[in-house]
Amino acid sequence: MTEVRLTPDANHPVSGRARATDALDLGEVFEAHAAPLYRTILAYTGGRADVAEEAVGEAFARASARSGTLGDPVAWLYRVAFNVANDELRRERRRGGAPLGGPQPPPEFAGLFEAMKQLPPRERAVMALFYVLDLPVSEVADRMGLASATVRVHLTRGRRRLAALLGDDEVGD
Amino acid sequence: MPQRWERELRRLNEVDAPVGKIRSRAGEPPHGDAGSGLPPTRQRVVAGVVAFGVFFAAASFGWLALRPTRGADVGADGLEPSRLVLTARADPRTEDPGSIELTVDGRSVEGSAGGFSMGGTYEDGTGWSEIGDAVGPAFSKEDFVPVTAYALLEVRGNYAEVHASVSESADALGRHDRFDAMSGHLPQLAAGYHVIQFGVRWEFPELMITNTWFFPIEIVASPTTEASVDAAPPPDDPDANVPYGTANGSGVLRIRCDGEATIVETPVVVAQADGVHVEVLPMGGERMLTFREAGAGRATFGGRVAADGRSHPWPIGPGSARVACGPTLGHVAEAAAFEVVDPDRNWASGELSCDLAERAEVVGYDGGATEWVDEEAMIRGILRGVRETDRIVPASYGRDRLLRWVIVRDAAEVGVVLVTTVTDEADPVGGGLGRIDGEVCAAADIDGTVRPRDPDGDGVDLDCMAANQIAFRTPGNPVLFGEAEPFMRGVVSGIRASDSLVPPAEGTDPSGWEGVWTVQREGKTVASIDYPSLDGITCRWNAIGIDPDER
Repeated sequence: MTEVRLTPDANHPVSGRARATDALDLGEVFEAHAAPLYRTILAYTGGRADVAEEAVGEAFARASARSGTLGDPVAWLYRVAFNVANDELRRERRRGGAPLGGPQPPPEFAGLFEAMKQLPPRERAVMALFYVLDLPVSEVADRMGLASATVRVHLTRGRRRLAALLGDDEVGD
Repeated sequence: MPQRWERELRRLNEVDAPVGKIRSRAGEPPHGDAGSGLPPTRQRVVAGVVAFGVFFAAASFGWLALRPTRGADVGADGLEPSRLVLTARADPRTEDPGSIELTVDGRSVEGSAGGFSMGGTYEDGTGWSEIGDAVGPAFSKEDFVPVTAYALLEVRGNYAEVHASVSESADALGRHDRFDAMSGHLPQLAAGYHVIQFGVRWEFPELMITNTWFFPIEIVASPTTEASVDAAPPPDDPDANVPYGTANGSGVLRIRCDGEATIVETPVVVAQADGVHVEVLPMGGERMLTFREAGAGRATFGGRVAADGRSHPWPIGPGSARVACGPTLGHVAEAAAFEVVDPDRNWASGELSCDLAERAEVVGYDGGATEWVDEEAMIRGILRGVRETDRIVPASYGRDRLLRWVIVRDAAEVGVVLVTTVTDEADPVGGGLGRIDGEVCAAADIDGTVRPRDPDGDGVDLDCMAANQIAFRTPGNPVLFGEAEPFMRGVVSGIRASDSLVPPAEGTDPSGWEGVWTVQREGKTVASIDYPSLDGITCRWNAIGIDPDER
């Protein structure tokens, strides 16, 4: 059994919800992964900061509410956050679109975000993990719960699609 | 040099994250939990209509990509069919969307909530509804509970309706095939990982509920209770006159076991896509059924039927057959005759219609294993010469021990092949390999992508069985100058940097290059390559010699 705590602070409203042995310090996981996870979901949602914030927050809230069932908390958090974001976007589509007046993505990324939205969900997720977080394929596969070969397929397709949508002009680093 | 979009994506990692707000949000209870803020039950008067469309579309999970194992010999003699029990209960007095539980032989399967909807109307006539889109993590490999193929399925509870579907494989996101949850058994499934989706609807005077759950199972055995009694000799020409028959007959073979006597109540039975459905009427304890001269396959086999008389479908080909029930297998003294008709032509025996001397081996492979829709598409896509009018059907209604597939042309079985897909980390870009191998009637002019040749012809012993060795050619290799080893590494695909290339034995060629090289991987000889032709033999799955452009 594994206990998950959002913060090491025993007075925090979430900590202490689960009681078990072999405590896992979710606070440590939060410090290390909340920001990268947010950026990944931001890319995944095509710049929807509000959805990314909610998805990451919800993922950690669920993690803190579960006890003893998170074998790999980081991979679990990523998958839940992707799913929450995906569900939110799907709900919006059912309602007829994103709410007006929501937060706007930074203008310098507007074109990129629009192109990302046109990728299928798995391609978007793989591209975000690979490029935004600069993870190796094997790590992307772990976080997505996919085979490495499948990740490479999505990467290849994602690259082609983005190049087609945004042009393949090369820039020097 | 990175492209512009690539650089922009990487720059996203420098975006400020609102960590404080996320921490605050994370401190709240999860919003996605299934608890609802429904009005008290007493306020509900009349059940309203709730969108039923959420049934099969409520949740979208990132299923774990698991290696499909189609084509493996997963037979297991003497296995009892698994018994699945689905219990779907809801209590209209509670504010709960009901529970859906699945057990396999008494063991609970850890499922995953899909989504629910509840609805009704208030006393003032206004309607209300609640939709919960549950989301959860992907299943892990350990979650998949072993189940024999053609497992029995029983549905219990106070439900009004149960819909069921099953994924083609755990990796086939969103692709689910519907099946009848009330048929008493699971549908035909290939060995490997699947996710069953049950959508349950409850109707109460004051409340209507729909709820969906997903359950991960692993099909571990294809044949279940059958055990060969005595193998009948292969027929000379089994498909020359397959008596497919017409559709006049019962959909179920009903048998009554009365003491030593066997009574067939439906003398003509129509085969279904998954075999001949059998129902044994109460017979006072567990008995064995033995089928003799069973249809076009002329096989003899049998197996146990549970005390309640329920049974999975049986692979009885069209034609005349006999059945006997008794305390032991092979008890045929009082066998009763019946006729199987197969108007939809679901049956294929897996026995080629041509003589041994007229058969040819066929091997084909292609990349993108994860992209093939199904086995039929793979066979049609990879093998050459398969006609549009050819039918592709699983042997023995899909109950073949090796899960072979049959190419049927004009009622003749002209090809019998195994279909295997493999993806794993060792595979090159392209999502793994799909492989077809088997035998065809040479006259059918069906060919693969590779022409097998004598695996020992090059004088090199590979560290894999001859049956697992495939020949490859390196098409259109350019004439390059330079040393042999970098030439082979550069032209023959699939050779890893860590592989060692061992030149031909001394004395075969003054340059030391020409001849048969071997590829050593982790201490084993996994391929041989002829230089300079670059033809070779490779152990299957190591991906050496496969043209990257075809993946």
